[in-house]
Amino acid sequence: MEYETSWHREGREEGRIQGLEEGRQGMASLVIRLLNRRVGMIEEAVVEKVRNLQPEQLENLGEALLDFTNTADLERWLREVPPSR
Amino acid sequence: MRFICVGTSCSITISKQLLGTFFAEFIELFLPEVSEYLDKTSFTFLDKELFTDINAGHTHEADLVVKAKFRNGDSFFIVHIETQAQHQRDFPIRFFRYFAKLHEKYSLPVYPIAVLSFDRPRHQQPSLYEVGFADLKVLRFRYRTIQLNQLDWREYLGRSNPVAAALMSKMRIAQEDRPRVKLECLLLLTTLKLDPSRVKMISGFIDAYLQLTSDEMDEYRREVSKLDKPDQEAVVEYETSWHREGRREGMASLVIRLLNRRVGMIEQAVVDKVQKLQPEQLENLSESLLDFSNPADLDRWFREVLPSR
Repeated sequence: MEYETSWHREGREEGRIQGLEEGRQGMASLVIRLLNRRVGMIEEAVVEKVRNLQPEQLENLGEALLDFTNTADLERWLREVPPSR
Repeated sequence: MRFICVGTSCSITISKQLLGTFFAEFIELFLPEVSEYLDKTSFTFLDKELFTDINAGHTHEADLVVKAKFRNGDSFFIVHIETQAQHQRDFPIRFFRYFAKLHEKYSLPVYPIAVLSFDRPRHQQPSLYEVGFADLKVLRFRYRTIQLNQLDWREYLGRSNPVAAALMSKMRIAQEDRPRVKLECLLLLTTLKLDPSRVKMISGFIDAYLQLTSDEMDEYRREVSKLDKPDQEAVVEYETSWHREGRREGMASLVIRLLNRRVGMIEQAVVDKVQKLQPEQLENLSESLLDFSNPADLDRWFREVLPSR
């Protein structure tokens, strides 16, 4: 089953439009998981906000949360998040 | 992740994997004459054939080089396939150079095939490279050109061939037929009785090669709803697997980014390993990496999760 990932990526990397949305959802679910782990269970309203972030914002939040220690860090990040392009 | 699309025209490389996995089927579909004398029981895929392109100043890796055997007898020949996702004016001369190098290296006859997958230009591309003088034709190098945008998908509809199912989606398709072609490709796939991993591979190509807009997607769904129950279920299952794969890829790309941040730039080999992980494994790795402090932690994680490899 070695070819399983590269085939799809090949097509996707160069021509995906819809794939972007699915990939974004995958990232969002992972970020929410990590936030719960990092700063404790986060509220539904915050979960919603994270779910609506753009891929680039999700990557940034993913990196930022490595240094979070509490919910205040997350709230600060969300307040300062630049509007999506 | 890289997503390159300019306007509505996307350049997609026809997968080497597709051609490699279904090499005999590819030859059967597009070159039935060759299929007659090709021994389908003995191919050797020659890996990593590199050509140094002095003019371009870089090396080029051949897309697919296969050592094949003539059906009657013990002699061999080389099949060389190059794919072109973008139109390049100097392709004929480059293709000739690659041909000459392979011919020199193996001292075998070489059968050159170009697979052109670009949307534009539409007009027929050359399949010839010539060197000549007023008094002397020195060289007439000819090769097979399979120019997908010149082929009519309808002619491949009845072909019971996985390469047809995958490549119909890159052929000449009228705008209004796009949803239907996608569906026909998938329906053809359901009739082929391939093993599940190959089905997944082909269905993924179809999805990637023929991306529908949301209006087209509505049309596609209406068509799906008219199908018989078993076909409908099969087609819906393909769609589910694309979504799953898309999500998985998003997760993998995020995990790679976090690993780079956490333990320093990771090697390409490790990146490849991460890209192959399943969703649950990616979740597990993402949580574990919160506690990683160096690359050894990552190596340990791999040893524990994938002990057999």
